[in-house]
Amino acid sequence: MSKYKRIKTKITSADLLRQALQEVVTREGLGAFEEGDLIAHGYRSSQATPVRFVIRKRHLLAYGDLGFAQALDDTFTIVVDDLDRRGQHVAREVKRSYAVLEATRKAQAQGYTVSPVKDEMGRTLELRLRRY
Amino acid sequence: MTQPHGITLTFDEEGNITAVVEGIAGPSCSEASAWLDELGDIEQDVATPDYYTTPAAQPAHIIGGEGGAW
Repeated sequence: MSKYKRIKTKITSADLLRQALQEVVTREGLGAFEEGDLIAHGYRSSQATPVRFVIRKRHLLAYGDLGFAQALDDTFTIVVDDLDRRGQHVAREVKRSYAVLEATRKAQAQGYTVSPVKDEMGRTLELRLRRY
Repeated sequence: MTQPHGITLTFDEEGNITAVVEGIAGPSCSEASAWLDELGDIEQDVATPDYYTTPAAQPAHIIGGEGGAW
């Protein structure tokens, strides 16, 4: 090993986020996600935030909706209640799927062969990249 | 041209990434792994002792070896 890096994933591509949401919704059996709407969250759903993507609580079986809001610099932030464990779990799964999709796309553009290592649920744990 | 090398990307529960670069040293390593910075915010970027090793010298090609003066 000659170098290692720790990278905090930043969600910036709406197209890849849509793919990641589709992947997680299918894998977790969540039904569907929606695009472009307001979500209600916070104590007694007292706050409304405009989001680009949302998974409704009826699909999540959670306390509140899970949203992805896009800032002016195109980065997405996750809107979910801190105490909503189910929503937090799905948010993490979406972020992880996004990270895998983004890394795969960029690695292939750089000319790497990409071999995924998956767990029994079909989630990618590792990508092994090789360039000759 | 960048020499052959490998990178392993590991994804944690939060969706963050650990990248390990192998088989390449020195400035070529930094060059080959620069694209990883586009994946998010870099929290750690550490060169290990292998980073500073000199790549093994390529065997010299002897030109006109046969029938040479020596």
